[in-house]
Amino acid sequence: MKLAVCFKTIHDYAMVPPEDWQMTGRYTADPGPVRQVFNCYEESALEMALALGNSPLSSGPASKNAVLTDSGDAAGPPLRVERTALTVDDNRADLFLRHLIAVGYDRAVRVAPDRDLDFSPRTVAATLATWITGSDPPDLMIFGPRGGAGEHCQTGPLVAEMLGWPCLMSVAALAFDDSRRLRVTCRKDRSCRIHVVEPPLVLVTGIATETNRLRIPTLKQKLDARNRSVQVLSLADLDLSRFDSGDKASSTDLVGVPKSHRTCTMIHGDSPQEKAQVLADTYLKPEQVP
Amino acid sequence: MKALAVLTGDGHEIRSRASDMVPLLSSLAESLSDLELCMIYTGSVPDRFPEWPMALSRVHRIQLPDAGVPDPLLDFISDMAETCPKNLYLFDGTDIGDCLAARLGYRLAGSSCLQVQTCRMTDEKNLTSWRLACGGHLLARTVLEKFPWCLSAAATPGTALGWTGDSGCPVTDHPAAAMPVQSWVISSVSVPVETDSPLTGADRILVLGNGVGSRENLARMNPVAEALGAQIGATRPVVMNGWLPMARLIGVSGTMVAPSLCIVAGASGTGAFCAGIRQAECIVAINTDPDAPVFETADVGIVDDLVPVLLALETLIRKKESS
Ligand SMILES: Cc1cc2nc3c(=O)[nH]c(=O)nc-3n(C[C@H](O)[C@H](O)[C@H](O)COP(=O)(O)OP(=O)(O)OC[C@H]3O[C@@H](n4cnc5c(N)ncnc54)[C@H](O)[C@@H]3O)c2cc1C
Ligand SMILES: Nc1ncnc2c1ncn2[C@@H]1O[C@H](COP(=O)(O)O)[C@@H](O)[C@H]1O
Repeated sequence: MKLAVCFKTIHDYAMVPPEDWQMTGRYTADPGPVRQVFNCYEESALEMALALGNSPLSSGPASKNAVLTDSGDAAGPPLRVERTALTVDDNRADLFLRHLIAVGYDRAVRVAPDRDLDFSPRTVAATLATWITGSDPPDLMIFGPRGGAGEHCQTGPLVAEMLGWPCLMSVAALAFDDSRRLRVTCRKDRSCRIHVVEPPLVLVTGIATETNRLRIPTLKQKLDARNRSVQVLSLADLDLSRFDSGDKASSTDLVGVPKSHRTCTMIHGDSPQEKAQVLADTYLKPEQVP
Repeated sequence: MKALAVLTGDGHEIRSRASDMVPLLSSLAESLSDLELCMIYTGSVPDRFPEWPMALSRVHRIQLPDAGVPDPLLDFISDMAETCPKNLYLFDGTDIGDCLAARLGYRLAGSSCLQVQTCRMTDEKNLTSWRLACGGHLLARTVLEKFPWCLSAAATPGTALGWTGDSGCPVTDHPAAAMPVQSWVISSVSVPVETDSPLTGADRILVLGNGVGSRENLARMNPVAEALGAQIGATRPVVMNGWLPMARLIGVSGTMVAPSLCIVAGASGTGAFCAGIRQAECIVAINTDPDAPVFETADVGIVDDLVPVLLALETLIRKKESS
């Protein structure tokens, strides 16, 4: 089984002081010298793919369960999962791609864009779809639910549509069943379904994933990874003409900060108890206390 | 302008998701000449209809063979689009609604914009929509230039919507048998999960962020919430650490809440989170960092360690109760 996880690192927006967003009156998705981070949802997706690769059925000696299928047939050699991490991004992503190689990704691929694609979801989707239909197509494409600076919430479904593949949303966990078929758990706020499916397909992770933080490579893994390189392609290497990458359908710009109509009154005091007292006396009126 | 609204949310979700669509429908009301509604279901046939600000011309009740597998629905709606094209397809903001809005926009060579908070017709041919981007810190404005426009509605707290047993228009039923079989789905089963929704409609919420530090500290906050009569909510890291279930997550990817009192303790106050509490009547922020952005969103601020402050607050409330 071949799978690819698509990710896009983002600025650590949480580190940008609020006044910086307001300051210039010109709003930009690039707030300057702020570190890049994995988007938390893609981190779950990247770890989910690793966990599948490491399940007893898919690596090492076949587990007891793997020996028999539903119909009692011998299951054959263990399933190998080949994992690719894929991003359309500039070279700031290379550090992250190397991290992914170190923790177990077989391939790390970066398509270098010729312009800023933060607000061109169809171009990004067409780029990913074109890569997928290349010489060694994966069976599974895994996406986060909202990503990049643009947070369009549509790249995964768009790629599915371009490829004519089915698409499952809110994916929380992946596993192989006893018959070596892919079992996808989809979880939402108040529902959970398990689908046994036949690839190829697109999976979009949800917020309730069973895997969360991406593992950290050991020193040995880091050293081993030094000899393996990130594959960098340029947009010109790919023929996007198969898909309608025209983002002319819409145009997006950043126009402001969501308004806060509040001014904060600070409670001062010499101790936590004093502050709690002021809070209780002034803001939790007796009739408000149950 | 002709529009089709699609409600994909299931039993529990459908009410809030239908309410989320009201602001968008209202702002387009003047331009709408015809509005049809699709209600998607898997279990029992829905027999109540949303009381939206404008009349419906027809309701389609569409049964999906497998919950959570939207592909047949997409084929169904694009077939409908061929026989009876619309200018606007408005989906609810569920995962399935988003998936359909994105795919349909591409399939029909139109334009899509998802998780829309507000929208307006800028002229006859262009629709402008606004939504959050950049971790919830900025507003993005999208001009949709190509018909049809495919939108999904972002969650908005607080709009209570009436439901009625009288659709006020013809209803057409489309049973699952009419849907093409999805041969890639070998089996699909539902697994029972806890179904109460702790945050929706809560009058008081105590939100705990990463600053709570540990599962043990978090457990110490249960009696505090109880004394306050509050539900506990969480930021993403708290849910990611497995300290609280995801039904407690507040923010753009969780629940949008509108309590009268919201105490936010140990959360930095990023846009993606704050979007979820914006409609709270009074926000109290507790944080050790005086420069934490959460104070920008709050009415009342305390710079201190959340644990002693909240434990002291609990003691005070209990004392008042007993006196
Ligand atoms: C696309 C996308 C969508 C997202 N959606 C959501 C969402 O819906 N909801 C959500 O919550 N997040 C969401 N996030 C994550 C979000 O960006 C932040 O990472 C997250 O909200 C931060 O949570 P936090 O404030 O609890 O943690 P941190 O940012 O780690 O902040 C912890 C805070 O606690 C303070 N603190 C530490 N110790 C104490 C103490 N003892 N007492 C008091 N204060 C203390 C610190 O000063 C700090 O301000 C999303 C991210 C992305 C990329
Ligand atoms: N530039 C990109 N490169 C690779 N994957 C991407 C890129 N942009 C978005 N994605 C993927 O698509 C998902 C949804 O992004 P979006 O539609 O922009 O919200 C993300 O979580 C990623 O998995």
